Amino acid sequence: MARTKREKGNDSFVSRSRLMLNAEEAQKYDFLFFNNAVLGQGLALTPVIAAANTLRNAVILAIAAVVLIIPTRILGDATVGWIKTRLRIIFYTVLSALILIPDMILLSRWFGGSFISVGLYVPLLFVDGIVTWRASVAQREGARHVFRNAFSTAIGYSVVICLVGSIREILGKGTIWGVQLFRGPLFSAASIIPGGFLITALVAAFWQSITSFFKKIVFGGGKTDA
Amino acid sequence: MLNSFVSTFSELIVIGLAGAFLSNAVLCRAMGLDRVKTIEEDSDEVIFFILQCACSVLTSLLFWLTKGIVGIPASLLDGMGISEYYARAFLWPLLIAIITAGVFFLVFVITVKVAPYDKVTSAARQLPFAAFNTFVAGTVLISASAEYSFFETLLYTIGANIGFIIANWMLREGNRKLQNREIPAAFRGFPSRLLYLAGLAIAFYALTGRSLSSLL
Repeated sequence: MARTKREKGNDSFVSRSRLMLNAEEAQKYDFLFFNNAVLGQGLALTPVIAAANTLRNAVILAIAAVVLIIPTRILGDATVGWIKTRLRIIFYTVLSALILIPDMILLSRWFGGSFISVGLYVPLLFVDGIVTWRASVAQREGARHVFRNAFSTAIGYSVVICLVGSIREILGKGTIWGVQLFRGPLFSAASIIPGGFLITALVAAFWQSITSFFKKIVFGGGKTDA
Repeated sequence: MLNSFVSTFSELIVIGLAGAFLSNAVLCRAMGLDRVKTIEEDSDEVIFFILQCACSVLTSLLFWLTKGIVGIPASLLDGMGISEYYARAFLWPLLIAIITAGVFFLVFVITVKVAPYDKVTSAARQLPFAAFNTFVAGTVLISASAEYSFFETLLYTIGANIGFIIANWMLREGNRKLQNREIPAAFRGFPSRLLYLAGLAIAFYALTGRSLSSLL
């Protein structure tokens, strides 16, 4: 039986709607780009702004976070229902403090003296929102789902911190990973905290423009606020 | 006698002021930025400040009294080839976490008994975050690293909490002004907040008399 023009139009509308739904679903669970922990959700700003003034520091903080986020989230998810939701933030803190011990032993073995340059910021990672963010979740999500989200969150954070660390090192010291690129610093203040705020703000504005552009292409309009 | 008392007292005041301004947790150390966002949404700021201050002071002082315990496992780790300096960095957070959990339950019991009936629910709701902020503002780790005495720790913690609240108040006021349609779309929201924080941080650095060359 021949299909009318209207039925064909309806089919096309349904498939387009499905595509948009898939895109929306993908966007909802994308912690690497659209829901980036640092730029999209404002988490883990302390290490990015205060300690990531060189690429080496940024790499140390990125590895520390990856090793901390994934096991804390998986163990945290496994214990949902044992402890009242409101108290889970305290439980998460003790749990991540325990995981922090092997994490820091590993880092001190790998990086030796460079590890000292990040100071208090590695020990403070264990209470950062990026680790404890899921403490208020009242339902179990399953190890596989949690691993996928935690991994993409950690990678998204690592990319941003390394990008900010590289820009700050190039501008603030004129080097990258200690290798001289320019004769001197281009913008000395990039190495200190106000410079960290400034560079992160510019990176966030750039990210916001790109996400807004992608949303316009996919959904035909997009929110500009993070 | 009087001179030494005045000199000790002025030193303590300087440490308290340093906690509030010179090393302001939010603006000079970029600590607790995501927490500041959460506090903005809380309605009862006074209760939150009282709870946070109580939890921070108790945790800092208890940590000051008990941090010697860490020496035992640290010496064991020393035998495994990990220096005591690193061992302290690994073990202090765990000790602080355990003390904070204890302080949380203590303050909860006191709050339920002392707080006015109509404020108990609001206080109990905010207490986990107030206790948790002790870490986030980094006051315990900073005062322990600086090897402050008992009274110095007390004054520094109170000063740091006042500084945290000042920064929170300034951010809240700033955010009202930042809700402006004339701000370019790319900078609306989070980026403009960070730019505002950059300005505030520079102002705090200038206020405390620090020059760029001294920081580099």
